[in-house]
Amino acid sequence: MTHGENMKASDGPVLSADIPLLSIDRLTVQSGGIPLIDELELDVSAGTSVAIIDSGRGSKAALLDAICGLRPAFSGSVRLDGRRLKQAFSVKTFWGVLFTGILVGLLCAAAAVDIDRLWLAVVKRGLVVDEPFTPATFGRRLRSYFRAELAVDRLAGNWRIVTADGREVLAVRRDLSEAQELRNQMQAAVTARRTGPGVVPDITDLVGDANEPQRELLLDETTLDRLAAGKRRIRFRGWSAFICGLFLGIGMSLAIWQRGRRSPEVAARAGVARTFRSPRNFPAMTVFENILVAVEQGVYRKSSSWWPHVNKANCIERTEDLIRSVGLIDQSFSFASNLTRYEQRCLEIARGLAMDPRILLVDEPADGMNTQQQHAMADLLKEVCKGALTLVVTSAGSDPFALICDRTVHLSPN
Amino acid sequence: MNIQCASLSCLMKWSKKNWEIPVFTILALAPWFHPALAGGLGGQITSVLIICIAALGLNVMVGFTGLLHLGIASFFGLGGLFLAILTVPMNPLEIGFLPAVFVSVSVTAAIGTLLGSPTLRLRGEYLAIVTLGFGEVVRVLFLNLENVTGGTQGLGPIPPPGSGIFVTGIDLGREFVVDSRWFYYLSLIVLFVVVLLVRVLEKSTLGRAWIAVREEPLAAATIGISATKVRLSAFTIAAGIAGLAGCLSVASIGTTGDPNAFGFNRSVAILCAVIIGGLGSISGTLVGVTILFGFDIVVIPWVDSWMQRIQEQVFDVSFFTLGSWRLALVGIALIVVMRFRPVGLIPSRRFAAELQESQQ
Repeated sequence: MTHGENMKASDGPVLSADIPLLSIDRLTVQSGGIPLIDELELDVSAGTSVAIIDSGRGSKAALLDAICGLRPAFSGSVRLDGRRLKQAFSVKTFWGVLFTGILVGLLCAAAAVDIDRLWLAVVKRGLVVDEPFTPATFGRRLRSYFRAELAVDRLAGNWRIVTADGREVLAVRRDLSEAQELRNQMQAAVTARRTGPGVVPDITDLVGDANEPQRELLLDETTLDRLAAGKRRIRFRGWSAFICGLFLGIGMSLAIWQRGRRSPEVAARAGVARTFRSPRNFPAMTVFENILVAVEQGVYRKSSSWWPHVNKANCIERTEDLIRSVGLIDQSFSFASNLTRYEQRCLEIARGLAMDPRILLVDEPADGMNTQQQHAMADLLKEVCKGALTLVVTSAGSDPFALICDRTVHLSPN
Repeated sequence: MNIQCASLSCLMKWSKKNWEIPVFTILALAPWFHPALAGGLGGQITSVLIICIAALGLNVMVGFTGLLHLGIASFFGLGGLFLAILTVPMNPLEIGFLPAVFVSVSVTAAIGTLLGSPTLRLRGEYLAIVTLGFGEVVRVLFLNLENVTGGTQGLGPIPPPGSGIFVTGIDLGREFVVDSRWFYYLSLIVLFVVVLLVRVLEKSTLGRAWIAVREEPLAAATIGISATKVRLSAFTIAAGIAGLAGCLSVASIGTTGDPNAFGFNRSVAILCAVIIGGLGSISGTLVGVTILFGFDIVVIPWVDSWMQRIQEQVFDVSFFTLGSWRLALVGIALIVVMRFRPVGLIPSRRFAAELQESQQ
């Protein structure tokens, strides 16, 4: 497959001679392994119009799809004003990805350290022992949870000495101060065990009461070792879950970002408008709304602020101008689904113009129209472009659209 | 005579366009004419109004943006849960009602954004499955995080709004508990604000972008609308509004109650109400909820108590209750509406246009 290029009339205004507005470099587009477009090179200068002619149907649509990002290119590149039509990795993307990663990491960590018991240790236990809830006490209890320190809990009028997550009861006392004293003793033993062999304390007495069968307190070497290892265990779980979640979140958001890099909206924001072979309008919106939505998006595209101010009156005025210029002013308030095919095409072109594009791609405007309508459409396109707008039209070759363009390009299989 | 007719038709036209004003005026004046609204009936109608709010949130997503959402009740429950966590005296935070509502609505909306951002690129049916799964996950979490959510018992008692505020020596919080008209008015005001908000959103730039994405995503993309962002905004707003409704609900009941109430059944019931009323239509949504939930919450208990009395007088036993047939009745109503009025009872003009197109 090659491409023939046939300079027909190159007297159109050339605005920037060195960098063409649209430059396609060795573009290959495949469909199911079969090349639709093979190593195409095409430069379109600003303000000129090009007709792309091919008797087959697939290649032209594939070319327009590849330009506006609907279809991925197999190889080669499409540049508008020397820039690829891809979203760049900006500072905003970086912070977004990082924020997502940290958030997913925190969620994973919360699940791994058991948020239910964390809540018990940090919030509920403070209420039980009547501690005021201030940031300082909150922080202290949070730290003690992650250090797996022993705690005092209440059950049915008794005070229990429990592990930080409340799973294991070590001793029961009737009196709060007595329980706290015992807890401090045991905590000292556990802390000593963490750093060295420590001393197994001489705390052997009977615990339990009427509610709980009496049993002997077992603070032997194995229990001590287990309690001492608690800190390492919970920290390991928390950190490993956080790091896994961090990478998962960063990876996921990067993958999502990568998939959305080359998409029609990115091309549209760079200033590429297109129409489709069978017109695609918003059927349940009126003609007026169809254009208005595009005008507003054009305003959003131009403004760099985060929350752009849309001047409603200006938008409405511009919408009316556009509808008048394509001759649909009588049908402004009828639904787009009630228009004829010719009117739908006009509407689509007006919608393309509404976002104030730099280049307009029109896919087979001749399709499904009689000769008279084709001529009217060609006049309309010539009128709306008037040398300022760059135009790429595809056609089957036997219609008036090739005539209104500055040059024609044949995508013909030899 | 002629002038009267003209003015009447003019009034009709006006009230068709601004239907909120007469409807909300009647609802606001109702407690004066019907004193029973201060008692149990007021509480029942309040819960219908609250579900209206949640259904409006769902309508933003299903009606305007065209995304099927099967987990709206989980956002309803999340909003209520956060309010409960922030206000119950069991927990140390105990911030006031208004800041708690503000925080819980924002957190619920943020959770909506988080759930939506990776999943809104999915096509319709997959998104429906994701929301369905999320609803179940939330319900199971509610049941199992016992220390946080209170498990099956729920968190409570939630202090009523305005507790601790004294106006001329009367404790507002006590008034809220004693007289259900207070909650009735609170829900009515919130519903009115939400109706206005949804109406403004529908006519805004964002609303047009929602409808554009629903109608023709490809064409919307070629004019620079990012479908994901637009859908995400709808998801967030739906979650936030549902969370607000959840806050009101738990505050009026006084406890978060059984988490199973926020499960799949509630979600589908709200979705049915939106569909019966008319997708994408605000007045239709309100009518749908009033019919479906009004029937369920208000009419059935009333009819049942009445029927029980008659049966006991005549046969000495009560053997038939309408309550046991209510789901069947709802199902029949749904089938009948879908058969004879597929666009809903009060369709939006857009959906009516679409149906007309498909019939041609």
